[in-house]
Amino acid sequence: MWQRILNKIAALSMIAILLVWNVFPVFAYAGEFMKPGKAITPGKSFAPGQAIQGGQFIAPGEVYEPGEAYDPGKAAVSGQPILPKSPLNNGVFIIPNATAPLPGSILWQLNGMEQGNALQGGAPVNGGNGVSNGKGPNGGQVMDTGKGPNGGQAADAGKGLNGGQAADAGEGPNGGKAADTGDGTDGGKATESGKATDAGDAPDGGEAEEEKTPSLLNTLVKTTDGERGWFSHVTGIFDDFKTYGLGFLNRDVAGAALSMMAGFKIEKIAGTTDGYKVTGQKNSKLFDSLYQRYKGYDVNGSDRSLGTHTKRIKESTFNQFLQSKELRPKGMKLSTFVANSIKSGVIDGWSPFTKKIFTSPIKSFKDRSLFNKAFISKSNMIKMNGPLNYAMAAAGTLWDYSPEGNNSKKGYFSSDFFTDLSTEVAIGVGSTAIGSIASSVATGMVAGSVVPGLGTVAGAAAGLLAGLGTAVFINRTSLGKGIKNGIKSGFKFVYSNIGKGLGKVGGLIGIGK
Amino acid sequence: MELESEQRFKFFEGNGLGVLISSVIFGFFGSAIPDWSFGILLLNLIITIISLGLSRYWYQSVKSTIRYNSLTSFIMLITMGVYMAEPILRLSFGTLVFWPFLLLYLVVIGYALFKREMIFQAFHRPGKSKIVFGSYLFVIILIIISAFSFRNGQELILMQLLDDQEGVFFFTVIMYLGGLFLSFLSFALLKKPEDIK
Repeated sequence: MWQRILNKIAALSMIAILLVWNVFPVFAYAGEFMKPGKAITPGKSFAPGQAIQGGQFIAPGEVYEPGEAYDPGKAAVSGQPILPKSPLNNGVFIIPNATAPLPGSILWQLNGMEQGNALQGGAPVNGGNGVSNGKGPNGGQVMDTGKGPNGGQAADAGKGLNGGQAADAGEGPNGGKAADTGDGTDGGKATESGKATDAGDAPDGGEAEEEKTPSLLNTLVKTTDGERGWFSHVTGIFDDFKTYGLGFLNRDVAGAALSMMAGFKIEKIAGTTDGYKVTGQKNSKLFDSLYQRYKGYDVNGSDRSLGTHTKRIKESTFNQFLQSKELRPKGMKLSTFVANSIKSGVIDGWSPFTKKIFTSPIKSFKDRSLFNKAFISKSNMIKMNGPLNYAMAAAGTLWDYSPEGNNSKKGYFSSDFFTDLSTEVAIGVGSTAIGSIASSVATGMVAGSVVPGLGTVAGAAAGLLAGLGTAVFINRTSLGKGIKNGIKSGFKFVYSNIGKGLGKVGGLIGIGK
Repeated sequence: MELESEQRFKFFEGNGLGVLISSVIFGFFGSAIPDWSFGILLLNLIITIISLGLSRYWYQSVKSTIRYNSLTSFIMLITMGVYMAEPILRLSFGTLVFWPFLLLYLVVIGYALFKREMIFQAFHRPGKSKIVFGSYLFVIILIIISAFSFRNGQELILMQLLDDQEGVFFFTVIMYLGGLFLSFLSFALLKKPEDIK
């Protein structure tokens, strides 16, 4: 028994030794590198979120009750007509029981009627035959109306004959001639009718000669005449230069230049108070007439001339010579000279009346002193002043409002025509005044200087530049155009009120109603 | 023409008035063409004030009336020249064309200043002087151009042939040439009466 116990003990010991020697080294080695890690620190506990606030409890709705099943109904009976029966009324008009429209009502009479084409006027009856025998088919009818005092009457007559085409003819400015042409009873007068510009044609059917009357613009400024193309323009330039250019050159510039070159001088005689001597030489024959003309001057309407070797003239004579050349006389203030130049420029250039008409009461229009003689004098006309100033200022406006112009529809009796005309004249007067001032200032100042002979050329240049400046300013700058429009508006306002006033006066006395 | 016995008037009855009027008229054109400019107007007003100041100074300091008249006439013509040259210089300012215009103006002024004795003699004793002939020829050409360009503020055939831009350029060039001409002539007036032989 002890043996068995010992054997068991020995066997268990052997097993224990074998295990220790096989397993112990593993644990011993592992103990060297296996170290304990850090202890895990506990995290924060999660806080509970906020409960969702608000909201409504959804109350359960009522449960729909199912409806009743549809009754399929009864089936339609086939063969039954949809429209109710009615008796046939074929061939019978149903006349409404309404009152008849009132007679004479255009509305009812013409309602529904389609408008036909207007009757076209026939071609004017060509009464060419009337020229030869005066028995034109329409001559008799025209005779009654053709005797009207003016062409307009004759135009109406033509309207009746040919459906209104003659109406245009009646509006022609020279319609007065047409009145004569109405006397178509004798063929001889029908020939005269041919001279009528427009109106003469229609009433008597006479064959008017198509003779173009030159316009006023072409007549005054021939450069604008293009009847014969470029040839007319070129010849017109020479005509205009002869008319407008040389007229000025003769007197103011060329004469002065030639006199200077000829050594023409007026010098004070030493030791005298008002004695002057005139010296000079003869000029070349080619320009001698201009030179001689420059030496001439005007004294109370009589022509005189300074000789080239006059020994002595008085200062008053010298001053008259200077004044006739529009130069500053001796002893005259510059302010007076400028004022006189403006007066002569504006009054002689534009006013047919003297200043007396504005300053003193008018007793009689027979008083000749009321009228400005210089306005229509030859010397004034040569400088294109006086009536020619108006003609030139009006030429453009007259053309615009003529049947050929841009404003032909408005015509000469419109307030626009008078507005434009007045504006052009006002600008013309202003431009003349500015040119006169500039020219007289330069001439007058230099006349008293060390080189008085320079005054003529400096004055001419200053006057021209002032005129050019005025024209460019008024026509080519926005400010100038604005001023021009302002002047025009002023005249328009005045003429409109005059027209209204005349209308009221006419209404009071029964005219124009 | 004689050179003596010129009468001295009050400042604004004589040449002082002329200096003022010419500056007002031509200074206005210089300010208004090709378009209105307050800046140029201010410049022209300053020129006018200086001109009037100088004239007033000469009125008091220069004893000879002819000399006084000559100096004030010089001021009038030279300022007219400036005013007439302004439009084209304004129109061409900022372009290459501006410089030739300015240079030509300065050259003419310089030449006339240098040759003032010759210009004076030309008008003092004209004879067959080319300067006098040229001056009158220039004025005659100016008259011919003007005769076909404008009359009493109205445009005639030459102005009507040109549109707005062309017309303004063309006529400002004419004004410039006229200004050069007046500036050129003005230097003849610097001759002293006592130096005339």
